[in-house]
Amino acid sequence: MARLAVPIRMVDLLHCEQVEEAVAGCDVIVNCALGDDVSMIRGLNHLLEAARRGRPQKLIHLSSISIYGEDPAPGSGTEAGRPDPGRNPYGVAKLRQDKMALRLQKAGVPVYLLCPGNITGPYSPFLRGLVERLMGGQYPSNLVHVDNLVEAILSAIRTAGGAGERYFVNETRPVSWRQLFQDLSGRLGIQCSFVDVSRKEVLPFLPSRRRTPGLREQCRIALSGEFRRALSILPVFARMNLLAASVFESLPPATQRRIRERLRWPVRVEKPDPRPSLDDRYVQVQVRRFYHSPQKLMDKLGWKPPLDYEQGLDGTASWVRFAALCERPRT
Amino acid sequence: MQQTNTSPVRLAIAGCGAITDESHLPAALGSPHAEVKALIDSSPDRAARLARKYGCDAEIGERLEAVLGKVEGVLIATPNHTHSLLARIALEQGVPVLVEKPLTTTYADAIELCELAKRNGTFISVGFVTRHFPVVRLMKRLLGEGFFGRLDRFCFEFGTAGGWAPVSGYNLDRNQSGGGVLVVNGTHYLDRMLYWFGWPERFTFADDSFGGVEANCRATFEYAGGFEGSMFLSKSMSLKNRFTIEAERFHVEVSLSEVDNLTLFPKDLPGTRMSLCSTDRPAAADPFLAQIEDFASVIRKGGSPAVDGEFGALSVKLCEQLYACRTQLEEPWAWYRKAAKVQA
Repeated sequence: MARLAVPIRMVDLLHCEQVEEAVAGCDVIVNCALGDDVSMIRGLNHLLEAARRGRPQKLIHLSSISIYGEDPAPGSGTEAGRPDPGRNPYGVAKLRQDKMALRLQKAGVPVYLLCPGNITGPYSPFLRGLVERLMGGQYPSNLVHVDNLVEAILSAIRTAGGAGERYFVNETRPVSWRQLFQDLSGRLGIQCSFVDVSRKEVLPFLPSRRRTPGLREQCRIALSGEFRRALSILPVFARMNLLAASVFESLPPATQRRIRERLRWPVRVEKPDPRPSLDDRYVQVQVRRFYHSPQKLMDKLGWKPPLDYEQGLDGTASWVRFAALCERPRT
Repeated sequence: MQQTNTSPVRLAIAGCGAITDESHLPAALGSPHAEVKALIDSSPDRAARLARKYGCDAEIGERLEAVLGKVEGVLIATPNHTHSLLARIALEQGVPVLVEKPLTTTYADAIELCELAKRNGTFISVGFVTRHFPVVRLMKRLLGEGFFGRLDRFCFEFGTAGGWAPVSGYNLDRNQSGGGVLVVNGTHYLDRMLYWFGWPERFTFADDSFGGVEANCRATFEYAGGFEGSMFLSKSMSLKNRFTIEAERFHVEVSLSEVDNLTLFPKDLPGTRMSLCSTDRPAAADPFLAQIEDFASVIRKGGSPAVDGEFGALSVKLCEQLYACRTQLEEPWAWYRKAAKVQA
């Protein structure tokens, strides 16, 4: 936006006076703010307070499909499905934001919640990561071109009705990850080799499904030298640590050895796995099974995406070439 | 016998935004050769908060003039369009200045400041902090000795998505910053290019501005003997952030944040690479500290700063000339521009 000769004002969303001053007299507020969970909630709170007083004609809040979790339940294909972010912190924060924003609707300011998938197109960091990890997948990609998202925001600004609701912003037809990778790599002239990873394998690695360490694991951490050294910065812990060490050293050597072995063994030596890490964000996004249809956005807000899937991909590929993302590192 | 003054140089810092908070003030406080006597900002509250944050017992003020009689040097780290005015205030009183890059937003202002400094028997140091990286000096030496053989081409590539966010947001306003990514980030690389290779014979420049500050730009440079180079800068995407030279004997790579080492890929030994660093002196733990100490040293002992006003003015001149020959950067993905053209 700064490329256009439009006045831009820097505002700290955590500073309520600054926010109030900035939005006073605005016709429309579009909230695209991103930050840590605390900033997102406190910042939005300040923005909503300012909107309550400033009475803009509309507030458009960019939500996310992450409010349905990383592995949404059946029924999440339309906005009628009940959002459930599970324990995914980003999804939890975004859903909380949605609820806060809808309270402004009750206070008389029309609110539109737009839920895009992963945003792609020129300059998309998500796309950049994707290009670096081209792999395969059968589920819908739920990617939306940034220009189509901008058009969704403009549709929400232009339309009189339909406030107080949630709208998915997505491609107009489901496109599987595999299809996307094939189409993109074809345009870029990249040979694409697919790696098969089953959904079942990835699920335990989703942030919301990660198990907390068991008692044995916690004991192992608590007794590790690293942990005890860190705690020993506090003199009281340093003394306790010394005491514990002298008690341990007073045990017979065979007992000491058995305890050490019990805590440290087995030593795991992993075989190299040629597949991508299951912790990888770009692997994890592929477990989402459902296509979040933007039909409601088209029907109620008259959204007509300016770019179809093919056009969006053509533009994206030309940007990837411009940014030389496909250049191989020197060896 | 005349005694050398070894007391720390009394400094005023004008501008208490992000760069002062994160870099200049900690460096000045950490230097045994500098003493921060005053913090000046258009918002004295911000200056006072910074003083409290670092437990710094400095005079807080809004006007530089008020403290000039009490200090021996001024560090100017304010939005770009104010550099010239503040530097002039200090130089008129014969007080030397260390000005954050770019020295000014126009070449005419830069030259005027240099002349003013000369007339008043003082000097200007320009805050191109990366000049204090040992690898930058090593590169200069190796180029001077012809170590790489014939030079064919070079490339600077720097990009971050977003990146540096000054408190005042001046970098989003062309009138305040003097330009976009070329001025805000590119001047570092223009300065290195001028330091290593001198003034180019010809150049081209394209950016994606539509009246505001450009987020992306590409420049090409031509030197005598067919040596050529390019610069690709972005404020909206991550790039490889490196400098490369293709030369007769080596392909050379230096990460733009690398302080010590340059990497050489010998042409006569394919499949190998080696790392080279200078043993002249250890890398300063903090280049901002090295910069402050360079400034303090010139105040106490004389000599020239690492980047003096005249050299700092060259990158301002080059920026100005690049913008003067600017063309629109091709964006084949921008369908809406084509649509707008058709409609027009």
